[in-house]
Amino acid sequence: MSKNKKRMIKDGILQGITYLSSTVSLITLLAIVLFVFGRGYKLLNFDLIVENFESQGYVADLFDDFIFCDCPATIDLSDDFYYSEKWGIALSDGTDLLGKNIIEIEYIHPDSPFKMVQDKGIGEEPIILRTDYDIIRIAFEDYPTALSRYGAKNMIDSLNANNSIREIEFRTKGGGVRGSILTTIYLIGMTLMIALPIGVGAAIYLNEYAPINRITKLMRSLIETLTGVPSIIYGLMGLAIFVPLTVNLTSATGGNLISGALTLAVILMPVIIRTTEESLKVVPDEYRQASLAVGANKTQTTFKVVLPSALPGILTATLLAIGRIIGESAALVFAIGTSIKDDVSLTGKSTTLAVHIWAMMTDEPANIELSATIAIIIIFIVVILNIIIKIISSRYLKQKMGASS
Amino acid sequence: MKKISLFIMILLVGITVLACGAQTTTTAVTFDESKSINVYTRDTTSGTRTGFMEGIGFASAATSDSVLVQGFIIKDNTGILSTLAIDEYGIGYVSLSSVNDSVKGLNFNGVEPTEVNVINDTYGLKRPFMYMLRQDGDYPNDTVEAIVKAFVAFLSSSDGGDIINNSGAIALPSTQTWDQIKSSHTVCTQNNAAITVRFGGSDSIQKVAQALTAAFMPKCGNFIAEHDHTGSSDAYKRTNDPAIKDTAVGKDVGFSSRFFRDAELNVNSSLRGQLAWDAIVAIVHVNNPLNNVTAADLKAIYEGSYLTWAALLSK
Repeated sequence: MSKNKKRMIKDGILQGITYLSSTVSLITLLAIVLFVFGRGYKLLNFDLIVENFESQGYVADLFDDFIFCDCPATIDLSDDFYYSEKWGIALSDGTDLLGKNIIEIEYIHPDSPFKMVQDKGIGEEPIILRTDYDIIRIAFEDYPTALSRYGAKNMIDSLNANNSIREIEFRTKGGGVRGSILTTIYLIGMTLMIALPIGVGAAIYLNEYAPINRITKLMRSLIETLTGVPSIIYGLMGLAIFVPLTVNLTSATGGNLISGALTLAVILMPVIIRTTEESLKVVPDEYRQASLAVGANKTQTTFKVVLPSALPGILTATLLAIGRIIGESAALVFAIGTSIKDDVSLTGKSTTLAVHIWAMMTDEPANIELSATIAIIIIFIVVILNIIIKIISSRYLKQKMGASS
Repeated sequence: MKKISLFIMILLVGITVLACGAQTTTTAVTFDESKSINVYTRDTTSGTRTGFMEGIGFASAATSDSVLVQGFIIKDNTGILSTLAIDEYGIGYVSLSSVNDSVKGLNFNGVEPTEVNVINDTYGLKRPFMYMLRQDGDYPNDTVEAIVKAFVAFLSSSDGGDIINNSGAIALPSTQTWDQIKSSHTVCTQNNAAITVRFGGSDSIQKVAQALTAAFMPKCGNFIAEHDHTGSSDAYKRTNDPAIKDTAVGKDVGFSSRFFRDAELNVNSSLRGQLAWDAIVAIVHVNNPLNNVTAADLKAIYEGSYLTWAALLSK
């Protein structure tokens, strides 16, 4: 009886430990997701994904023959907007994608002198002021300039107090991550193009062809060791080998996407080899024997029977690889650099989303909100990728089942 | 059995949550003056540190850590701000433009750190924002040189001053607008979209410099500004040091958040100048009863004469 009780307590404790540890890990993961969402949701909108990082600035003046609007707004304006009937323009205080205070144009009356303004720069065409521009400043003759940091109310008051302006500076929103998303996609594509064939090929050799001896064993354990090497060491190698290599062979002048992709490919190879080998191992030997028995040779068997059976495993390897590419930052800081670009080219510098976060956090002051927002985008992409891979592999499995039955 | 484990688990989680909750709620109590002062500082490459240490009369600490109080902690700008929002017994310093409500900015020698007080020269703890150019004729081409000269002219115009003020620094007084002087910079009337001008130097000035170039680009033929800010000492090295200025990191304009010194002063004075002031503010936790410090107080804290808050507050 007492023995039974003791065992029950022991079992209970052991069971409790598993419950507890799963709860702790769940809470930790939830806390991370909650932190990221709590900090980042404010800046999350579609503009962030499609906008350029650099904003395009304009300087302009009113046309000489402008006439005052003196008109009430034709639409209902929110209470937070400041509207000037004299000039026919409504402004509001807002924050840009980098979290800085800005003045947004909310509404321009069709008869407003601001509807169309004269380019004071080198552009010949008049500029049509749109509601997605931010105003940086409006300067007057002999009157204090209305700056964006003093707020929208001050700017409208200054406008109302004057009968002409000297110049107006405005810009597109900027702060977006379009370039970094593009870079991430480019890098995923290029890295997989390099790493997958080599990795899968090596795995096939190790599992199907390699003689079982000491050298093979040594090779395998070396590859296993490589999986655990910190990525910043690969980054150093990229900086020392791939950057000079690509600078010599291409038009690049420093770190570039190609050197980054090569570095990432080296990081991923051990992962791909290991995962692919595991999936090749679980292909039943009967498949090989059956294939050989009907007269196929070794190569045909390997590539037409074994490899297709291992495809779900290779897909898993690909998913792991993509996850690693998206998450990698330390190696890329060295192998590509950290300058955020909008025009992504293979031989130029630019940042992936993870390095974009790094660049935002090393800014003075660090931009935690935008970093968290980018983190949300990254998590979202990873989730989507997971789902896609799951769908593909389940489709494939179904097809195979259908074919075999 | 399962129910018991579930119960234990919920209990444990509950205790953990309670413990966390209790910890956060009990911190907002009285300030314990007997606690020692946690001293935070920037590292020796920082222009903010040079400005601060020189401002409090402790110039030897600008470039040396060994003269500082034992147990000081080095953090960057963001690190100091976020730490002092939590560390009740800490003291640090940041640029005026970074100060926010999460910390308490101290008056210096009885003067409140505001823009007005910096411009009228009553607030003493400040540092200059300087620029340095390459030697005449040492630019990638003549167009770049002409744009750089135009940019410097823009810096001293009231339009440039507006942008500097808008970015949180404090511009020098100016009377001319860019419209009045642009006729002498004909380079700005042509299309410069293919021209890249390289800006670098102090990272404390990066935000200001980026705002300035962003405003100047449409005024000067949409040239392209490339910013790579690495520290005040690179303002000289990357524009005028023969060993570095012609490498890939060479710059056309370098910014520094301290006055130029030593070898840097060999550069002709027409190629360097000041564009703005930035105030440095000593900050403490919001619960700290301290409101005002003197240069001597700060020096005493940083050199280790005052080790506890009582030493300073009871004075």
